[in-house]
Amino acid sequence: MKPLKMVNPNGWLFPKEYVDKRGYLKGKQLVTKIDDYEVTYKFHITLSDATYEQDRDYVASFLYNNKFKFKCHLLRKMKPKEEERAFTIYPEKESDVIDIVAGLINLQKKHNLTAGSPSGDGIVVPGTSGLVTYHVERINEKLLRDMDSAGAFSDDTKSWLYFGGKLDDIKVKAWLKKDGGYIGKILPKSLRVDAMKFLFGRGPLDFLWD
Amino acid sequence: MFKPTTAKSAKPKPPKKGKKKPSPEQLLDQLEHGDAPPEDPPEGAPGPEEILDRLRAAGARDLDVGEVYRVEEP
Repeated sequence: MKPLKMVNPNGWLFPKEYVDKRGYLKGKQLVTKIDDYEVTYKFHITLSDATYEQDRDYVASFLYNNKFKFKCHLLRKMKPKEEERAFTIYPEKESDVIDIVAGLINLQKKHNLTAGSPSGDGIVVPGTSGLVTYHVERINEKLLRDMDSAGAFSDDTKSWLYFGGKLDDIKVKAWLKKDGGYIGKILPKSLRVDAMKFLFGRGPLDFLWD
Repeated sequence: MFKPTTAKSAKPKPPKKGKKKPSPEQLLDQLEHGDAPPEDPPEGAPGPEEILDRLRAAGARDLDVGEVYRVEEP
């Protein structure tokens, strides 16, 4: 097999030509507009650590050959607790969302990939034999505030985002300024779950659950 | 890592009416506890072929893996 040359700018592997000089992925991640909300979705692929080396070649080849943006784990970093995000895939356009899932279903049928433990902050995509989970990665302030008004925050999220019984505006401003809407650093990952539930039925892949 | 900018607006598909969706309790359970990778889909759940049909109807292409490479770590 020919080698697929990868780079490791930050602890994750990327195809060499996908990354710019600063170590960022090239391109633009898809932002889905839902009314006044702006949401970015991504996929994780969970692979068993026992068969990761072989299955990684198949998944990486499919994604690379079809020009989908992704990162994956180094072999030495793949452990059972890391199975859930063996690969992270970033759709760049609306058609990527459905093409990626269809392609991975076909890849699973052809190469019998072995799923690992799925991620707890997303939803398993039906028909993917547990391989693919679907996640909210970023949201905008309008969505955050509407979720708050609708009482859509879990207790876990409230424990991070509330101060004095209401949304902590200092934290919200810091999140907007530093993280650009990313959930998982200043904003807790439990908010991903809350946002998936709040938006369920309106996301780009939600028709699969009809 | 991947710095997003607002791409061309995606128009989400409106939810179809009159069809069954997972209950909030089912979704909550999946979200909070994960969903063990099923050996076989739960009874009544759509299988890969049905999901593929839905994806194709939405415009998905049947992309092939193409040439298989060996991932070369730096």
